[in-house]
Amino acid sequence: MKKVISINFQGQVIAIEETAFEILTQYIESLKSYFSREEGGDEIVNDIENRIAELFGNRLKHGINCITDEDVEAIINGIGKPEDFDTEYEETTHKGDSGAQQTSYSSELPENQPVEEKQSRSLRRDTTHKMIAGVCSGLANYFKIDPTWIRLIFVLFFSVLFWVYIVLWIVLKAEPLDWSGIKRLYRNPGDRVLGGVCGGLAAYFKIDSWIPRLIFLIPLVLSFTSISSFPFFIRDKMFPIPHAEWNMKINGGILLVYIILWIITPQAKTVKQKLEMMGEEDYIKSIRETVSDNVASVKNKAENKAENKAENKADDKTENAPKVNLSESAEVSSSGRSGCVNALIILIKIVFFAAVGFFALILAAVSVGLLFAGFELMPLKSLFIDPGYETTLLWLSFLLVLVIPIVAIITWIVRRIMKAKFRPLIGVFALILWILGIVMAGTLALKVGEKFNVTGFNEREIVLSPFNGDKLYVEMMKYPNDYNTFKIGWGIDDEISRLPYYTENEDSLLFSNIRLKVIESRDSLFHLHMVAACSGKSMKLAKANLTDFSYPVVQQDSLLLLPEFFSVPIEQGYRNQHLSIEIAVPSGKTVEIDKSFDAYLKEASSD
Amino acid sequence: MNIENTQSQMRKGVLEYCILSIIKRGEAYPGDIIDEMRNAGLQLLEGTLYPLLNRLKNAGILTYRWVESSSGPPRKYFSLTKEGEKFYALLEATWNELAKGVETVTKNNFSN
Repeated sequence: MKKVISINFQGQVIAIEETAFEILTQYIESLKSYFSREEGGDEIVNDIENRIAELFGNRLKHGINCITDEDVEAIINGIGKPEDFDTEYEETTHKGDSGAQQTSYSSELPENQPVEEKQSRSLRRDTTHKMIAGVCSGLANYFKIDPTWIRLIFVLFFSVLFWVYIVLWIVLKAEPLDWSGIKRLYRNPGDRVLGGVCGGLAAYFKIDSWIPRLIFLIPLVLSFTSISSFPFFIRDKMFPIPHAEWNMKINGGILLVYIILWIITPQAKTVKQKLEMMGEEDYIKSIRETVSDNVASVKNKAENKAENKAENKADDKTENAPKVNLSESAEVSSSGRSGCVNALIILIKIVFFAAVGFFALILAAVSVGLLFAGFELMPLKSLFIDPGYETTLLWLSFLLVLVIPIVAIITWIVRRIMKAKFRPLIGVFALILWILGIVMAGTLALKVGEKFNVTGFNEREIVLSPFNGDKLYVEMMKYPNDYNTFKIGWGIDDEISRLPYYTENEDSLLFSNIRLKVIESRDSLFHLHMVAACSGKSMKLAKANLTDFSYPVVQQDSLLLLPEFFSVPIEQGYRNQHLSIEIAVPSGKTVEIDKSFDAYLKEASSD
Repeated sequence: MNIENTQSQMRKGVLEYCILSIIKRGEAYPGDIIDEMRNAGLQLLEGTLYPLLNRLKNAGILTYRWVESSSGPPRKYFSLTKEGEKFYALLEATWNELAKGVETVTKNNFSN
């Protein structure tokens, strides 16, 4: 009779006889000690364990209740005992050294822990992590937080706390304090854009690094927008003035905090510091990730080099590997270059990003400005653009041409902050859409231009009925109701004075494009000769529009009343409609034209 | 002279070539490789195969990816890297040369 136990082997639950389990453990131990001499030995043993688990699984699937001694023996025979392996380790034994080093390091950490418990919790100046006198560091140790926070407070409230610092310096006893178990804030060189401050903060609070980056950057962006790059009208609309001032303060503060953190936070350089920064678990996880990344990059490099040398003799290949290693180590050492060069590089980076950011913001501002201009000009849309197809075209091109750059810039900034990889496909796609927008805008412009292709004329002759007296009085019939102008804003109205008005109920356009001229009549009667003109895509359309002109003339004896405006249906839009009126005066008679027509007369004489 | 030692030396020489040749045909996991080798009458121990794969992987000749398996833990499926393809091509050339040479030499011996 044998005892059967249940074990969790490589994530599988396996029923196994106790004796078989013992054989298995012994076997795996022997494998471990055998492969410990080989680089990646743990991995090999793990692979073999996986294989054993799989073979166990196969056996159990075939209806066996549990793994017996015989099963284990059979598997061991299949895999082979260390003495059966055809591997030679004479030349690889020296590799064991690195393993020994690792174990000696890991034994270092637990030693610290008992010391911590012995220490009494009293306020001391700290000599191990001090910057000036260790006051901040000592305070932080007392409260079991990172000294950076205390330092930050002392720097920000320097004027008040300066004396506190001095007093504490005098009063407190200096002592090397123990920091184990207290999470530290470091600058994270492995995750940095500028100084690694945000990366370090992210590691400290266990959040993604783009969060602190965004927090540091948002006020900066806001301040840029509120300073000068924005046209005034938008600035006033979007950021009222008191707001902007408040903005400046906040973001000066944030910038200051960043720089102070940069100065007072040490960079995590050693393994121990990185451990303190991230916490043990996360650090090991991150190492695993970076190691696999590195392996991948080394492989890529090796492949690239191999490709470059493809034309060379294949024998060269063996020489490639050491070369790759050399370049790798060169890169590693360059990251440890002198502080001066480092500072210079950072400075260049700051200047570069500031320039790029500034440029991008200006571009964004211009786009936003155009957007607003577009909205301001919107009321004019109905004059030039028909509803339906053309309106759709207008909106689409408007959207594509103006919105895409804004979105692109914002995306670029966000991705930069989040350190996401640039995906060129999106850029190309956006560019194509943008060009499409330009093409649409061009098409629309052509369409609008076509509407002014030809100009049609319509002549009308009115013979005034005879009246007593020699003088004809011409007066203006003022438009009786209210009418609206097309508001454009920014005083452009004056420049486009020929723009029509529209009626109260928005059904007609009212034009004052009327020229008045006095000529000599060929007979003894007064005549009115009126020529209406209208542009259009084709003569047919222009003529059709002309029939809708309305300019009622009223004669009361010797008084001729001419309306102030001629009107057309609002659907016609602006087609450069105008009207010229000639008053033919027979010889010996005169005409007196009211002053209100001066502008109309002037226009005619200027032609 | 120990006959076993000589036999094992002979086998060891072609082992790498055979394994790479199996992997070259397509991604393979060690279980497949073992089965195929044994079916072909070439005795191979897992304990020999795993370290060998590990070393080839460390040398950048092989790469692998994890594949979930229904019958146990996830499996490592190995494939050749670009480097590995070149490595294999060289081995193949060497093997062909060797096989031809060995055949010529041994046949000559018989005919003598």
